Amino acid sequence: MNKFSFLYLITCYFLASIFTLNNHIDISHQIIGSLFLITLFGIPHGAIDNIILKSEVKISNLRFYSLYISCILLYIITWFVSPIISFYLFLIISSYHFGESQLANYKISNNNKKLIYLIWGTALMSTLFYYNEIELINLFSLFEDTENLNSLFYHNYFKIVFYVSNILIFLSLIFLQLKNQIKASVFRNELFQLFLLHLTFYLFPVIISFTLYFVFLHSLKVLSQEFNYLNIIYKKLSISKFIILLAPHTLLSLAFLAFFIYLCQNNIINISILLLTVIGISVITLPHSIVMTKFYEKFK
Amino acid sequence: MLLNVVQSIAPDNYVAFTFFIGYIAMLAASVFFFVERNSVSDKWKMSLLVSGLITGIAAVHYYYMRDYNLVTGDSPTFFRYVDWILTVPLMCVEFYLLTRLAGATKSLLWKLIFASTWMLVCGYIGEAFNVDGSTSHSVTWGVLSTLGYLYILHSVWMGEVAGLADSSGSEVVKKGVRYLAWFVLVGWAIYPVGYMCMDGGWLNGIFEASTLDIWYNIADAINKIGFGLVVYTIAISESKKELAK
Repeated sequence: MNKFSFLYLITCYFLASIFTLNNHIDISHQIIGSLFLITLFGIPHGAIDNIILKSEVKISNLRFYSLYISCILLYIITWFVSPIISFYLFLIISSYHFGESQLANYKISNNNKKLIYLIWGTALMSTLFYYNEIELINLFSLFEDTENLNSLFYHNYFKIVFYVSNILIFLSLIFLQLKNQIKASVFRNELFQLFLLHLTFYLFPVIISFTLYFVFLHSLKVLSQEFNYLNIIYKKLSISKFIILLAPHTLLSLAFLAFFIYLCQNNIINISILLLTVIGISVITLPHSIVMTKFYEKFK
Repeated sequence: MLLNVVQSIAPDNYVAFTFFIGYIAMLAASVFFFVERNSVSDKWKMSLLVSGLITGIAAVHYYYMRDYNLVTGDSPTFFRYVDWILTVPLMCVEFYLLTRLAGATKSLLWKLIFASTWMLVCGYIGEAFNVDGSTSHSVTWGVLSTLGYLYILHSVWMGEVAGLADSSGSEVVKKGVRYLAWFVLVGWAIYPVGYMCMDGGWLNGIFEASTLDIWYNIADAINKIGFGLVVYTIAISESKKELAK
């Protein structure tokens, strides 16, 4: 267990106490709590993509921003052309990204690692969907423009994905241990973390479940990796300097978020807040995951 | 006398059966640890004595708990907490004994004993003094109890105990403390889960009260005997190393 799992565990105990007192947490409180944590840790973890990439690749500011924004715009267009394909693409990209951030620290051989990253992330996402199917269907059914995202749950294919990916990641971890690519202690830690994820996704509502994972096991971990990396690059980096580095793009993202919510609420753009959130997260995930892949190639 | 008791346990009374098995297993483990004290070097004798005491104290309590359960059919909450309040701090003493050579101080020992006692006293107040099944009462004391648990968990995984094990210079001690930390993380988790399963708890209804006793009995046996066996393995390995020098 590392410090991130420990924080995750403390939060789970804390939430269990709240659920015992109230039996449930109102959806609006869930969203407020999740937004607060995601704003505090989730958005900043992708806010220094420019610094990360520029420390590895020779690229001018103009070129970086042009490429980054083009990537976002291209994905936005894809959303308007085919929302379903874009949604599935988002699931695949985020699965790979989550798997990569989870396992990139281990010396997995190049032949298998990309596939194992994808399997780990797919197991995570399908587990989230598997235990919260009805809640997600109800959520997507709230708005007309998100109803078609429910196609994910047609024919129960995602259940097959859930079983197959979970079995495969279990077998992959055994394989990696047998091939000495991960230590026995790492193997146990990974199994424990998967067990913890299953337990929390089963016990808590979908928004809380995802936020718990995204904030404590993903964002905080990536922030810590970025801090350690920049600490080497800048010779010595203080926490306050790190926060200053994170601030500009975090604030910019929040300003954009507020702007689009305003457009949405005032019917200036004809799109539901839920779809806007999904599109928003997906379009920033794409360039971020590309930068992070570059980062993990160097960072061990 | 013993045979009479065995015969009086109904074949489908799994609670009484696990109390009986638990009692025998703990007793056997105690005998084993006490006898094996002679196989280890002097500096490890105390660790094995404590291991034997943990299982010995539990054996006595399991003997009473089995009878109590057979006569009343109730869950022996009081005896359970008396058992835990004596044995859990002793398990914390094991952490101190294992890391003493790496520089563990008396203050660490007292901090761990205090945290474990705090955890159990708060848990007992939450469980036993809640006659009207008040949720706020059980949550308040549950949260307070969990603070003690989290302190121990932090100490053995990434705090003082973990740091001392890392600096001990012994791979066996390092590995052993890590195994014991797994016991605290996974094995001890049954207790807060059990607490949440009682009346008014969030997980109430997932297990029946009687089933919960079975889980407690199995977990207790694994935690206490397993804990002792890890300590025994470390003691034997380190003693062999010392002999070879």
